[in-house]
Amino acid sequence: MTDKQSFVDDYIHSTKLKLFFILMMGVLSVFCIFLSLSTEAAGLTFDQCVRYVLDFFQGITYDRGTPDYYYSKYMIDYKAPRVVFAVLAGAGLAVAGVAMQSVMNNPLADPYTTGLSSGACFGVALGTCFGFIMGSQNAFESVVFSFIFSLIPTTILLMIAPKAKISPSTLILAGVAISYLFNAMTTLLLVTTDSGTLAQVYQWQVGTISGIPWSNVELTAVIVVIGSIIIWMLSRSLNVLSLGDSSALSLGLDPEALRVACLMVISFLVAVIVGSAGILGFVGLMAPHIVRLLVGSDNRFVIPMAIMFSACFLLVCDVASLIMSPLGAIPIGTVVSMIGAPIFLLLIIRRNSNVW
Amino acid sequence: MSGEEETYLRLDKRRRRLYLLLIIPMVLVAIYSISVSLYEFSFDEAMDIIVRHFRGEIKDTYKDFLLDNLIFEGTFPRAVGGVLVGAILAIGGVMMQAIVRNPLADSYTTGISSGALFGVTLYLALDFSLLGHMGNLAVISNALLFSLVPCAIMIVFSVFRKTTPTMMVLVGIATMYVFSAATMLIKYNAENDVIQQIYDWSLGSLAKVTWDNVPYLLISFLIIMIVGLLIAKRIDVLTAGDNCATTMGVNPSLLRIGCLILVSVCTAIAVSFSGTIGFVGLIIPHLSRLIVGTKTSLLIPCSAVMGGLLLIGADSIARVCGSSSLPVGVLTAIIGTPVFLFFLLKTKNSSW
Amino acid sequence: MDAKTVKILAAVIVVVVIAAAVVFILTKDNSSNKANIDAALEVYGNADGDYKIDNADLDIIKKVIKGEKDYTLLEYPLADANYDGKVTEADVELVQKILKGESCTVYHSWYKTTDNPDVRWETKVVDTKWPITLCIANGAANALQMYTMLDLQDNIVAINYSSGSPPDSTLYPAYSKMESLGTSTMYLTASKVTETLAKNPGITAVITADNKGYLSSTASGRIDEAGLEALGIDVIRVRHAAVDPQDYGSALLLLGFLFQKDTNNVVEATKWIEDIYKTLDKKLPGATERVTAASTSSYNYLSSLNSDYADAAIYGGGIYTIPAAATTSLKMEDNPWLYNDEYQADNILEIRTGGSNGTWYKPNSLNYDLFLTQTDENFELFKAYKSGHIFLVSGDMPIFARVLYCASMLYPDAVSIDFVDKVHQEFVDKFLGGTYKVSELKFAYTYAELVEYAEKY
Repeated sequence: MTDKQSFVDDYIHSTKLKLFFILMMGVLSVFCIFLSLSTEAAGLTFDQCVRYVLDFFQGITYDRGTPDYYYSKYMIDYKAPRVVFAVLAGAGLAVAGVAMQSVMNNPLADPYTTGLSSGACFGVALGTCFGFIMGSQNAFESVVFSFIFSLIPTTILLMIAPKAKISPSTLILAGVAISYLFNAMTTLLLVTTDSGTLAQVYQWQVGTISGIPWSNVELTAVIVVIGSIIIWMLSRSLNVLSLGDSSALSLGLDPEALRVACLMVISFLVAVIVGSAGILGFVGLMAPHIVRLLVGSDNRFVIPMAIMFSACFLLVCDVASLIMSPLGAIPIGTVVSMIGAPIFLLLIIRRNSNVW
Repeated sequence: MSGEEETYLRLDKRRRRLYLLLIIPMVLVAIYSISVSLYEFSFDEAMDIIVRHFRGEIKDTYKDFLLDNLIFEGTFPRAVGGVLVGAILAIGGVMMQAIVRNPLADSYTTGISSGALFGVTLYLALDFSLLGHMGNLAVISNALLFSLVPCAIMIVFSVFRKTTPTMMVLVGIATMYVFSAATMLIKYNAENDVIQQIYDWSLGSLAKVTWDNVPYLLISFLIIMIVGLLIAKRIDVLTAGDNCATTMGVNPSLLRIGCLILVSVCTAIAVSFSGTIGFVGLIIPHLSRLIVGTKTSLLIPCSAVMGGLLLIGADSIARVCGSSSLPVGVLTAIIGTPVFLFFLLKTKNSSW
Repeated sequence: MDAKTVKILAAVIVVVVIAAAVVFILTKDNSSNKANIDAALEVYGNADGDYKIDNADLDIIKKVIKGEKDYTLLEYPLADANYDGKVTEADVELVQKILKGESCTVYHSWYKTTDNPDVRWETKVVDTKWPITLCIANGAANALQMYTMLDLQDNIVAINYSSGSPPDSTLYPAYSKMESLGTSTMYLTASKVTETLAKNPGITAVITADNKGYLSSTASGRIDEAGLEALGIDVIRVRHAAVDPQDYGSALLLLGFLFQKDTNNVVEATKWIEDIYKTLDKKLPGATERVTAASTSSYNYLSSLNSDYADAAIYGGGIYTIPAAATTSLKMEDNPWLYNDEYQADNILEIRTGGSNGTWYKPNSLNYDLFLTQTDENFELFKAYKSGHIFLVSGDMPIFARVLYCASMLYPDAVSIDFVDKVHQEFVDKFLGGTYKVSELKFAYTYAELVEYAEKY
């Protein structure tokens, strides 16, 4: 009797602890948002930045040509969408990462390492080179193109899934091959255009969260919120999936259907983010791992925590790239890769050789 | 032995000797490729020039001078180089797939491609050459030296940990991502034409292969071929599993590291002259397996021939596609993908 | 004095006075505003299409309104000063405002390069708040030259340039002190631009180049042309690097007009450039004696017809042998068809900028070895190389000088290098403040000279 009671107590206690961590993460996220908002913001101080944002919500406008006008426009049209998008991209990629790791049963899966991002990226490059997508307009076309072309890696992943369970490296190797293929196709497109267009597409491809118009941000918000909610509601099923297909079947789950459904949602998430921002690699990989250290492997806690962690991470990367190069020479995608790739390496090395 | 067994063995042997037939198309394609170029000249002209070159009978006219150069310094070493590079990549693929026990490995799985690209970017964008060279030589030396870094990391790493094949693959890929992140960083601020040059190199091209490079390629090919054949039996044993291998007197870790170094060095030499040409090492082993079965001592020569054929064939086509030629890496990717997908679907779970 | 002497004296005085008057009038004509310029001020309101807006334009507009014969909008499209499709009193008012120097909105030309190899520029009409007192400007060397010619340093608040090629401190002292607002001449960072705009409320325009890559990116915190227009800032695209003298002249005139600079100075600069090209034209041999040429900006490429480097060769009197192509630079490796007879030129002009390999303004700082090695390695199969007709020309100098040096390389007898050096020095003295001595430097090398210099240094 006492054993059972202490077990329940422990459980409640650990749940409360997890909720506490999530709350802390939330606070940290808000802090990161404000930090990112006020870094390299046309020389404005923190309170000035906040003031202009609040003014916008109150509907105050300024006359053209006054300093207030310029500052306000900058905060609302350049800074704010950047920050909001960073949060959304972090959230979306984290959710995609968690879902993918559960569905493919591979701790190294994430949209980038499995080649999904490269497929989506090729889709957008194709659209741009054929004139369907003009710069940062056509948010909707962007998403359509990237979604269609992200279905190709998704299908390949579905085909590999049964074999991938034999060895985790199979998935990653397939991801490398898929990425190589799409990079080759993208380069083929770019080689046939002039160096000006090449530079433009390349600058987008490498991962950037600036210059994204509000229409894109709104579309991303809708898809990320819906996608996250769907995945979160499936979190119990995803928990079960990690036990293996046969166990899942015996517990009344249809692993194939779940896999397909999740990959569809993941593709949408990746497509909308890549379509606006290019490739932000490793974000979906790191968040689940680091977060699991704090809140365990239960997806119901991992998902919200990972969302906030990723958002913080992207915001911090944004701040880092601004500090390192105030004129914007270093795109955020590069900073993210420079941090994410060594962490990927570390994750592999630290693992016990028995696990692999 | 019963009659059926005898027939089986005889047919089996005949089937396996089939790959030797492939040498003929390979040589034919290679020779024909000498006359393939966007500067039009006929096959006869090409042969004529070569024969006259050897006899020292090149006239002093501009046309002769031009053709002599285009063919003898251009397409001829390119044909030889193409065959050798294709062979090296294919043999590398066979060995890598065997030692990491995964059908998706290829000769770049040790991270060579991104190490080399990083070295090349360092030179093209930042003018930094490790050995202080200029021009083409700088590109080659940087590519070679930096492509060996991931391999070195893997070796150092294996000293501290027991390297399972999976780990080898993953560490290789991880270093690949690290290098490509570093490359991205440097590449971003480069001017447009430098970015284009880097892109061109990353897709690989046989255009820069000269007679000076051919000896290195030849030695590299011979080493990987001969050593590969010598240890073929041990590699076969390795596919049975580490424990089995140990009981049969083979040290799996040592063998793995040894093969890794062998493949890395030989592939690095190939890559530094041609850039990274993908998919060759990935799909050729599968195709040769269809013809000669899974015995490594047969796979290696068969893959070498098929690899050579594929690369020089793809290169010939790529050379004349479009108004400016395509990079051959794009063509191998286009050809390679359906083949890759086909094998992905076909391999039974039990094989790997 | 008797009457006869007086009459003679009077006659002589009259003759002298008349002669003096005639001489005076003639010379006055030469330096008067009736200057002989081909370039046009491409601003609506400049009805007669000459180099400035004056009363003559008002007259024409009034005549069009009245409906006089031969005076229609079709004949004088620039009469529609406010670009509303018709010529009315409103146009008269606008031109009057311009003549009085009052603030108004003017309509003028805008050029942007295209992807299409057959179409060099797309053009449209844009509106700008006039006159411009303060602006942000592109910091490329050619642009800075134009600003120096027009004396714009007090009007330009900030520029953008790449840290790898900042404005030369001897040539452009005022500009080299300015902090860059972007990572290169092509991009502006939104944050820095906002700060600059907020702290300098009089800025109404951004001057940039015609190249479509400029102000085209919104990645990495940048602001593009559309973003600037949305902020109410006029973006003015000017062909700073035009080789054609009329295009270059138009650009000079336009900038001079927009900044309300003294007409005489602007005209002087424009006329000077045009005169040089005319002089060059006279010196070049007849059509039957022209030679073929190809040019390049980089060691393993040749430029195709629709590039600025081809222009330099063409205006320098060469017949260009390589057709227009989608990629303006063609790599020899990938395009061996360049070796075909029809595409081979008798002369190859390598137009290279120093960059990290030294600068032409500082003697003996160039990496001759590198240039020589690159030339040997990459051009050895061309006829031009075999005959020794391959030349190295500096890209680090005014555009017209580049053309002149190319002409001198192609026709050494007709266009002597001394003549070119003299003209170059004249420009430097007149418009760049005499900051370097051409006689101490060398801006063009024949292949033989390159070998010689490579050995010496």
